[in-house]
Amino acid sequence: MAQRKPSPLISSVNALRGLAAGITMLSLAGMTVYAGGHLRNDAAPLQPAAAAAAATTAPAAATTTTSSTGRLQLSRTVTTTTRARSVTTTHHS
Amino acid sequence: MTDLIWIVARSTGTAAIVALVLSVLSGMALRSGALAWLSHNRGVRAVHDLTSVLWLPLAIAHVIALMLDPYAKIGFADLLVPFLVSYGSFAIGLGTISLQLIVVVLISTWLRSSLTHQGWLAIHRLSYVAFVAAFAHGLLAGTDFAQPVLVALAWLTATVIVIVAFRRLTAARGRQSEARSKTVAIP
Repeated sequence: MAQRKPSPLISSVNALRGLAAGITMLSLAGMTVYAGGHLRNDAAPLQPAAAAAAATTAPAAATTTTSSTGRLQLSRTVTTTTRARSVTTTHHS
Repeated sequence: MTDLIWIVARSTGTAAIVALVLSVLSGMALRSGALAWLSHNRGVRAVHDLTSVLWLPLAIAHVIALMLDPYAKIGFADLLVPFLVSYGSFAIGLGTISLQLIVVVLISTWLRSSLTHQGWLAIHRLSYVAFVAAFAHGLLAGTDFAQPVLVALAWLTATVIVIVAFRRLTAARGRQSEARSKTVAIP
C-alpha cells in the first residue's frame, strides 16, 4: 500500500510569498535601525582611504591665546586627507 | 544626509544578500525537493521568482548609495570594470562581478523563450558563481559582517545552502541512474 505524503507546512502560495518578502524587508528594516545606531564600525574589514586617513591623523585641536595687541587669537589644526596644516585666525572684536 | 546614504548602502546590501540567499535556496529546492516539508513546488517556485525580482531594486539602491557616498568613493567605472577601486579592490570587485552575473542571469530569464533550454541552463548556472562572489563580497567588504551574530548567521546560511546543493546533486544522479537502468531494461 502506497504511503500518503505528508502535507507541507504552508500550502498557500501567497502566504509563502509574504513570508519571503517579510524576511527580506525585516532584514532591510533591522539593518537600517542597527546601522543608524552604529554609524562607524572600527572592526569593519574595509576602511575607505579618506576615512582611514582622517582617523589616523590627530583630531583638530583648538587653542586660544591672547596676542601682545590684546586681540584674541584662535589656533586650530585643519585635517586634510594628506597632511595636517595649522591655521591661525585673529578675532577682531 | 551623508549618514543617511551610508545607512541605506549598508541596509540594502545586507537585504540584497538575504534576497539572494532565498532565491538560490528556493531555486535549488525546486528539483531536489529539499523544501517539500515547507511547501509544494508551486509555492517554492513563487518564492524563487519573487526573491529574484526583489533582489534587483535592493542591489541597485546599494550601488547608487555607495556611488553617492563621499567616503566609499565608488565610481561609475567600478560598475563596469571590477577591481579598480583604490582600497579593498578584491572585496569590492567581487561585488561588481556578482552584480554583473546576476543581471545577465535575470536578462536570460526574461529572454528564456528565445533561448534554447541548454543555453538558458548554462547561463542560469552562473548564479551559483554569482552567489559565491556576493557571499565573499559581503564577508570581505561588509561593514556589519564584522558583527559576530551576523557572521554566525551568514555561515549558518552558507551551510544550509551547501547541504541543499548536495541533496540536489544526489537527486540528479539518482534520476540519471534510474533513466539509464530503464534504457537497459528495454529489449
